[in-house]
Amino acid sequence: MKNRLKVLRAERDWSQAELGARLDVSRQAVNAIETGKYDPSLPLAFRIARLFGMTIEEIFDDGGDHG
Amino acid sequence: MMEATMVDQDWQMRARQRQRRINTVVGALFAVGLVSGFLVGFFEDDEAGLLAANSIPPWLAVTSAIVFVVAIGFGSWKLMKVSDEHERVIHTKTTVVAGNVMLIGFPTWFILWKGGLVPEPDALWLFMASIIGSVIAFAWYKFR
Repeated sequence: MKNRLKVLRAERDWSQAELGARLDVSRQAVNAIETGKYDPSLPLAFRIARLFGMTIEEIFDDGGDHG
Repeated sequence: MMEATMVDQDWQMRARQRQRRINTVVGALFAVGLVSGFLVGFFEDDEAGLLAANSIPPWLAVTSAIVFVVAIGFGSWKLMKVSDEHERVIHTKTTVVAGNVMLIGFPTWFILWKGGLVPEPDALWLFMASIIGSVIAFAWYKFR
Protein backbone atom coordinates (compact mmCIF):
# COMPACT_ATOMS: atom_id res chain seq x y z
CA MET A 1 0.00 0.00 0.00
CA LYS A 2 1.36 3.42 -0.97
CA ASN A 3 1.55 6.16 1.64
CA ARG A 4 2.81 9.69 2.20
CA LEU A 5 4.42 9.00 5.55
CA LYS A 6 7.98 9.73 4.44
CA VAL A 7 6.97 13.08 2.91
CA LEU A 8 4.91 14.09 5.93
CA ARG A 9 7.76 13.12 8.26
CA ALA A 10 10.29 15.06 6.18
CA GLU A 11 8.06 18.14 6.21
CA ARG A 12 8.28 18.14 9.99
CA ASP A 13 12.00 17.33 9.99
CA TRP A 14 11.44 14.22 12.10
CA SER A 15 13.69 11.19 12.00
CA GLN A 16 12.19 7.70 11.71
CA ALA A 17 13.16 7.11 15.34
CA GLU A 18 11.38 10.30 16.44
CA LEU A 19 8.22 9.44 14.52
CA GLY A 20 8.40 5.92 15.94
CA ALA A 21 8.62 7.26 19.49
CA ARG A 22 5.68 9.61 18.88
CA LEU A 23 3.64 6.62 17.65
CA ASP A 24 5.06 4.24 20.29
CA VAL A 25 6.50 1.89 17.67
CA SER A 26 10.07 1.03 16.67
CA ARG A 27 12.15 2.86 14.05
CA GLN A 28 12.07 -0.36 12.00
CA ALA A 29 8.26 -0.29 12.04
CA VAL A 30 8.25 3.26 10.63
CA ASN A 31 10.77 2.24 7.97
CA ALA A 32 8.71 -0.84 7.04
CA ILE A 33 5.55 1.26 6.68
CA GLU A 34 7.29 3.97 4.67
CA THR A 35 8.77 1.46 2.24
CA GLY A 36 5.47 -0.38 1.87
CA LYS A 37 6.79 -3.60 3.38
CA TYR A 38 4.29 -3.48 6.21
CA ASP A 39 0.72 -2.19 6.30
CA PRO A 40 -0.17 -0.79 9.73
CA SER A 41 -3.17 -2.01 11.68
CA LEU A 42 -6.27 0.17 11.73
CA PRO A 43 -5.52 1.48 15.27
CA LEU A 44 -1.98 2.47 14.23
CA ALA A 45 -3.26 4.02 11.00
CA PHE A 46 -5.63 6.15 13.10
CA ARG A 47 -2.76 7.16 15.42
CA ILE A 48 -0.70 8.20 12.39
CA ALA A 49 -3.61 10.16 10.94
CA ARG A 50 -4.28 11.93 14.25
CA LEU A 51 -0.59 12.79 14.68
CA PHE A 52 -0.51 14.53 11.30
CA GLY A 53 -4.01 15.98 11.66
CA MET A 54 -5.24 14.23 8.53
CA THR A 55 -7.57 11.41 7.54
CA ILE A 56 -6.29 7.90 6.87
CA GLU A 57 -7.20 8.24 3.19
CA GLU A 58 -5.08 11.38 2.91
CA ILE A 59 -2.02 9.43 4.06
CA PHE A 60 -2.61 5.91 2.76
CA ASP A 61 -3.65 4.88 -0.75
CA ASP A 62 -4.73 1.30 -1.36
CA GLY A 63 -4.98 1.94 -5.09
CA GLY A 64 -8.71 1.34 -5.07
CA ASP A 65 -11.37 3.38 -6.81
CA HIS A 66 -12.80 5.86 -4.30
CA GLY A 67 -15.37 7.27 -6.74
CA MET B 1 12.52 26.95 21.89
CA MET B 2 12.31 25.52 25.39
CA GLU B 3 9.08 23.73 24.51
CA ALA B 4 10.71 22.24 21.42
CA THR B 5 13.62 21.00 23.51
CA MET B 6 11.24 19.38 26.01
CA VAL B 7 9.33 17.61 23.23
CA ASP B 8 12.67 16.54 21.77
CA GLN B 9 13.78 15.06 25.09
CA ASP B 10 10.37 13.46 25.61
CA TRP B 11 10.43 11.33 22.44
CA GLN B 12 14.02 10.33 23.05
CA MET B 13 13.15 9.29 26.60
CA ARG B 14 10.16 7.26 25.39
CA ALA B 15 12.31 5.53 22.76
CA ARG B 16 14.91 4.65 25.40
CA GLN B 17 12.22 3.38 27.80
CA ARG B 18 10.72 1.26 25.04
CA GLN B 19 14.10 -0.27 24.16
CA ARG B 20 14.88 -0.80 27.86
CA ARG B 21 11.64 -2.77 28.35
CA ILE B 22 12.57 -5.09 25.47
CA ASN B 23 16.18 -5.44 26.66
CA THR B 24 14.99 -6.31 30.18
CA VAL B 25 12.83 -9.19 28.95
CA VAL B 26 15.49 -10.54 26.56
CA GLY B 27 18.20 -10.09 29.22
CA ALA B 28 16.13 -11.92 31.86
CA LEU B 29 15.52 -14.84 29.48
CA PHE B 30 19.23 -14.93 28.62
CA ALA B 31 20.16 -14.93 32.33
CA VAL B 32 17.74 -17.80 33.08
CA GLY B 33 19.21 -19.79 30.18
CA LEU B 34 22.74 -19.06 31.34
CA VAL B 35 22.08 -20.20 34.92
CA SER B 36 20.21 -23.32 33.74
CA GLY B 37 23.02 -24.21 31.35
CA PHE B 38 25.63 -23.68 34.04
CA LEU B 39 23.75 -25.91 36.53
CA VAL B 40 23.24 -28.68 33.97
CA GLY B 41 26.91 -28.52 33.02
CA PHE B 42 27.97 -28.48 36.69
CA PHE B 43 25.92 -31.52 37.70
CA GLU B 44 26.25 -33.49 34.46
CA ASP B 45 27.96 -36.87 34.63
CA ASP B 46 31.31 -36.36 32.92
CA GLU B 47 31.48 -40.03 31.94
CA ALA B 48 28.22 -39.86 30.00
CA GLY B 49 28.03 -38.30 26.55
CA LEU B 50 26.55 -34.86 25.95
CA LEU B 51 23.27 -36.28 24.64
CA ALA B 52 23.12 -39.38 26.88
CA ALA B 53 20.04 -40.11 29.03
CA ASN B 54 20.30 -40.17 32.85
CA SER B 55 23.31 -37.84 32.82
CA ILE B 56 21.89 -35.22 35.23
CA PRO B 57 20.06 -35.68 38.58
CA PRO B 58 16.26 -36.09 38.27
CA TRP B 59 15.61 -33.05 40.54
CA LEU B 60 17.68 -30.87 38.19
CA ALA B 61 15.92 -32.28 35.13
CA VAL B 62 12.48 -31.54 36.62
CA THR B 63 13.54 -28.09 37.85
CA SER B 64 15.11 -27.21 34.48
CA ALA B 65 12.01 -28.37 32.59
CA ILE B 66 9.70 -26.29 34.82
CA VAL B 67 11.96 -23.21 34.61
CA PHE B 68 12.14 -23.60 30.82
CA VAL B 69 8.38 -23.86 30.32
CA VAL B 70 7.62 -20.99 32.72
CA ALA B 71 10.41 -18.75 31.37
CA ILE B 72 9.51 -19.33 27.71
CA GLY B 73 5.78 -19.03 28.38
CA PHE B 74 6.01 -15.91 30.52
CA GLY B 75 8.89 -14.46 28.49
CA SER B 76 7.03 -14.86 25.19
CA TRP B 77 3.91 -13.25 26.66
CA LYS B 78 5.94 -10.39 28.15
CA LEU B 79 7.88 -9.88 24.93
CA MET B 80 4.62 -9.64 23.00
CA LYS B 81 3.41 -7.03 25.50
CA VAL B 82 6.47 -4.78 25.11
CA SER B 83 6.81 -5.25 21.33
CA ASP B 84 5.06 -3.03 18.81
CA GLU B 85 2.64 -4.48 16.26
CA HIS B 86 5.30 -4.78 13.54
CA GLU B 87 7.55 -6.79 15.86
CA ARG B 88 4.59 -8.95 16.92
CA VAL B 89 3.86 -9.77 13.28
CA ILE B 90 7.53 -10.66 12.77
CA HIS B 91 7.50 -12.90 15.87
CA THR B 92 4.35 -14.63 14.64
CA LYS B 93 5.74 -15.19 11.13
CA THR B 94 9.02 -16.43 12.62
CA THR B 95 7.15 -18.95 14.78
CA VAL B 96 5.15 -20.11 11.76
CA VAL B 97 8.40 -20.71 9.82
CA ALA B 98 9.85 -22.69 12.74
CA GLY B 99 6.66 -24.76 13.00
CA ASN B 100 6.58 -25.44 9.27
CA VAL B 101 10.18 -26.65 9.33
CA MET B 102 9.05 -29.27 11.87
CA LEU B 103 5.71 -30.05 10.18
CA ILE B 104 7.22 -30.46 6.73
CA GLY B 105 10.66 -31.66 7.81
CA PHE B 106 9.59 -34.63 9.90
CA PRO B 107 7.22 -36.32 7.39
CA THR B 108 9.75 -35.76 4.59
CA TRP B 109 12.57 -37.26 6.63
CA PHE B 110 10.25 -40.05 7.84
CA ILE B 111 9.21 -41.14 4.34
CA LEU B 112 12.83 -41.05 3.16
CA TRP B 113 13.73 -43.18 6.19
CA LYS B 114 10.95 -45.62 5.30
CA GLY B 115 12.57 -45.96 1.91
CA GLY B 116 15.87 -46.80 3.53
CA LEU B 117 17.55 -43.72 2.11
CA VAL B 118 18.42 -41.82 5.31
CA PRO B 119 18.94 -42.55 9.02
CA GLU B 120 15.94 -42.50 11.39
CA PRO B 121 14.47 -39.00 12.01
CA ASP B 122 16.25 -37.24 14.86
CA ALA B 123 14.26 -34.76 16.97
CA LEU B 124 17.36 -32.78 17.89
CA TRP B 125 18.28 -32.12 14.25
CA LEU B 126 14.70 -31.11 13.47
CA PHE B 127 14.70 -28.80 16.48
CA MET B 128 18.00 -27.24 15.39
CA ALA B 129 16.67 -26.81 11.85
CA SER B 130 13.56 -25.06 13.15
CA ILE B 131 15.70 -22.72 15.29
CA ILE B 132 17.92 -21.89 12.30
CA GLY B 133 14.82 -21.38 10.15
CA SER B 134 13.32 -19.00 12.68
CA VAL B 135 16.57 -16.99 13.00
CA ILE B 136 16.82 -16.61 9.21
CA ALA B 137 13.13 -15.66 9.02
CA PHE B 138 13.54 -13.10 11.82
CA ALA B 139 16.55 -11.51 10.10
CA TRP B 140 14.70 -11.43 6.78
CA TYR B 141 11.51 -9.84 8.10
CA LYS B 142 13.29 -7.45 10.45
CA PHE B 143 16.15 -6.16 8.30
CA ARG B 144 15.21 -6.69 4.64
